[in-house]
Amino acid sequence: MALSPRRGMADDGSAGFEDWYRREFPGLLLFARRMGAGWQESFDLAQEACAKAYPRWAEIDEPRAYLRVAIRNGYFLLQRWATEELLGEADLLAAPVEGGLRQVEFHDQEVVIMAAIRRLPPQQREVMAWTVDGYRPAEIATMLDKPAGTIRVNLHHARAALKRSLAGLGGDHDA
Amino acid sequence: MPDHGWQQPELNDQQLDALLEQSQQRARDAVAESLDLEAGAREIAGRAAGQRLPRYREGKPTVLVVEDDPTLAPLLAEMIGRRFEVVGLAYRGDEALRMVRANPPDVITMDLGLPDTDGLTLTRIITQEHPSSRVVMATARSSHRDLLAGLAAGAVGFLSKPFSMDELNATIEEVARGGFPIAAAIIAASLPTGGHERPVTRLNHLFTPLEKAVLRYLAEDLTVTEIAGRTKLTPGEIIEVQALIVEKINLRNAIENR
Repeated sequence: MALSPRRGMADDGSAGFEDWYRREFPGLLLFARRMGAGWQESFDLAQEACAKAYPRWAEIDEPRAYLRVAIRNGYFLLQRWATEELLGEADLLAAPVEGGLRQVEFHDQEVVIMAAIRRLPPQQREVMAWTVDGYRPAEIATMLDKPAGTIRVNLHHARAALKRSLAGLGGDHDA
Repeated sequence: MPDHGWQQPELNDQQLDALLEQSQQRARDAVAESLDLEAGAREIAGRAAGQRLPRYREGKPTVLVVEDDPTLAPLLAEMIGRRFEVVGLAYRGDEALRMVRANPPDVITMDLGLPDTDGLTLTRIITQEHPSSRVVMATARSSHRDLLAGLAAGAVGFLSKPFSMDELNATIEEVARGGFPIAAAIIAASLPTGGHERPVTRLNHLFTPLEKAVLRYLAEDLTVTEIAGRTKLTPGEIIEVQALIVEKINLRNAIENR
């Protein structure tokens, strides 16, 4: 598997971590959010995953994927306890201010897209979260140890649902 | 922009990809705006060097996590530990009891199913022995029965599945402050109200022994007639007690929400 730690590289220490963190952390947090986590929960999951990876940073081959796997594993473990179901958008408002993440101010378009992804069934939601971050079905399949065909089917359904639910945003390029 | 699914033509593949890509960048920028990345990086480097988590504020409430799932428990403790002072993690009822007796925490998150006892029994013992330790429990979705049983056992915080870690943390916070968020859940479960506020009630001993007994029987799914039989009251009186319970909770909420 592509994500197993490299051997014999531990001496590099954590060189490069901080730059990587500044660049990639927002994406990690958004990944957790698209998976279905609350805002603060997304921050906490991403931050804990980074803290665990940091001491062995030089051994991790593909940190973007490695940390996303760690985040999704943590998220699903917590979900198994708190239920499999997707939460509504109510927790957008409930996010406490303290502890690392201030209220995120999305434009309407981002609110709608985030909500549409989070409304997908869990497996489609996860495949979409990976896809938005640039991963191909074959790569997702390897990381999650699932058949690539399953990933493709989920992606197909997810995209079909988004094409419908985001129809109102067609041709809207107000950026 | 609301989604007016009807009449709008579906997006094609190119439109969807363009939309997602554009939105991804804007979402990242918005999130980055809301983060202190330097503080986050410092926290991680500091922890690797053996420092504790930064104290977001002094005097964080202490929390004991009771959870028997060996994979979930450490993660739960870690996530709660980002906001509160986790003083212990118990996988069994006897461990939990020993920890509470040695050092009563402000808040206990209680798992209902434990290998050696059930969370309700444990809650009953703990809240009798250590009324200052307040119990938060998660129960099945809209399970009136779990809710009432938890209340009868002395739990004051209640999370109805599904919930997020954010809601768990908010409930711990509220309970630690002396709030009574279970009241909100009771109203939601027993009355057809529309709102979704989070009322706060500040009485530890909100209910009389009779009311607690009725709550316990209700939690056991007894009918009004059966409860009447056990309490030597008439069914009409039981219905009155039920109404009193609901009224008390509503009154508390009205006062707290003024």
